[in-house]
Amino acid sequence: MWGAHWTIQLEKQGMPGVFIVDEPFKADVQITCDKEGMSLLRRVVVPHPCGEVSDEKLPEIIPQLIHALTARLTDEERSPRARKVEKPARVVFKGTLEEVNQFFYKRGWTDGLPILPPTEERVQEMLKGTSHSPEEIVTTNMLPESCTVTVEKVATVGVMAGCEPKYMPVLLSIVEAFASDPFSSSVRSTTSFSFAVIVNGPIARQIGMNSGMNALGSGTGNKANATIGRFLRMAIICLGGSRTGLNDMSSAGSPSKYSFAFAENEEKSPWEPFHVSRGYRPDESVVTVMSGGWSHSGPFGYVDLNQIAKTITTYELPTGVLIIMDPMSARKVLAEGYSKQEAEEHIWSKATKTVAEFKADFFYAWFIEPVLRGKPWHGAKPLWPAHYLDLPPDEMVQIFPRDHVKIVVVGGETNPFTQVWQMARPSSVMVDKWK
Amino acid sequence: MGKEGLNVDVQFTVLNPSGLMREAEPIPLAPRISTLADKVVYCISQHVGGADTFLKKVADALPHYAPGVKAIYKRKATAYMTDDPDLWDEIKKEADAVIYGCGA
Repeated sequence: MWGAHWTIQLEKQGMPGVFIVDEPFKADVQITCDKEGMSLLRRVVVPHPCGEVSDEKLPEIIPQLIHALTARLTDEERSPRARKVEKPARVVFKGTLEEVNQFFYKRGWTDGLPILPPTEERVQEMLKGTSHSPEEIVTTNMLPESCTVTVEKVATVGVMAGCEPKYMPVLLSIVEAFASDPFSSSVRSTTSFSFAVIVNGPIARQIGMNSGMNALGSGTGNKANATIGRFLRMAIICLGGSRTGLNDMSSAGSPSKYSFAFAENEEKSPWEPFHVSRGYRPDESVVTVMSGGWSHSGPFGYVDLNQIAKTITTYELPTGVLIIMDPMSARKVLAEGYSKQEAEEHIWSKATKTVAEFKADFFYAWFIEPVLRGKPWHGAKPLWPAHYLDLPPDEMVQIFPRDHVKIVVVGGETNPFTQVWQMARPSSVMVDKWK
Repeated sequence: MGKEGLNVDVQFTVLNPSGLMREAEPIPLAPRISTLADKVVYCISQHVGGADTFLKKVADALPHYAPGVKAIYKRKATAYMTDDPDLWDEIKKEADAVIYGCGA
């Protein structure tokens, strides 16, 4: 998607170009070309991965590249027609429960599980959960395809996911938090990203979110967590236009893509809540969405901070971790004399590798080295210190960016366990404005 | 549960859950060059999936198929999704055409 995007930007400035597409990404590239107004961008398709294309293939590929740069433009390439985007009909189908589900499966409007039919009555009921008008635009950048989303559309998908009307302010906040450029790459990545939703403040209790036993799991006590988490994935699919094999190119996927929402156990935590550490007041309700999820470790019984640090050095592309700590573990860490920030700092400082090992990361050349050389990444401030480039190979360095190791307290105190998830780029939104 | 336990004939009229895609202004392609002879072609790798290897191969092979062309291999200096204004400026100044790859 991005390669096609940059080629189009050059074409727009008068530079003739051709984009080389790896075969599995043909459809993804066409979606990008359509979205950016250059449906006929010239391209040459090669086997995947291109790095393993043999020299014997070059006599077939190179002439195509030359032709793309030199062949006269067709009339349509010179004067392309507008691609008509039809405004979707508000009512799309009538049928039995089974027929509705079959229809939605066929259209790609499900996460794989059956949906509840979003009837007019149910959607109207869902809309009672917010004072905002159904026509109000929540975002014009719902990823992956930067779609426009109204309050009614959020209610529609909320119904499908099994949500209750009282969840609406949280659902609207999730959409607002998710429509953030740092997620534009991860949502269509081959790396099987998932997105964690953390809910803090009074709203969590008011709508019955679970912050205790099995909060990240299944069960009848988890209706809010399960359906709110499901809502985000359904929103990415329905509202944002995500489709496996077209623009969701996850290599193996992750079960955490189905549903990953929970509240912090603020009552049992010995520390300030997650959202307060991010600058909000304790009485403010806040939704935070984070991106990652392809690495996951635990249970770290009796929470040895050094063991956590050692384990997370095995994570590739170390952009950040979310440490989900049972209250029992948190109290133990506190008893050892650590504040939350000191525990985070300790883990960060002990998560070290040699420079040579750090540079051996699979993603080093793609992402880390450009940042070390001062190039931005999603507009973020420098993640790793530039002087890493000048250090000898055997020097030990912290592999995670400072302040990107975060603790949140969740769990039912059945054992002092801790989970660690690769999670970064928190995007937070206050919930109350969506009430 | 057997069918007798469900009213399977209940009809549901359902709303459309899809977001609204953007309607993009159609943009023409840049004019082509008639020949690569005496032209400068930048072969740019966005360094994913072995693109460095492949674009180097392309840059090396291009003159054999297009005599007189000057093919220059360049590796994008930023992550594939991040803007690289320095490279775009260099291309505008130095190049006549661009081959960009690989991946998506």
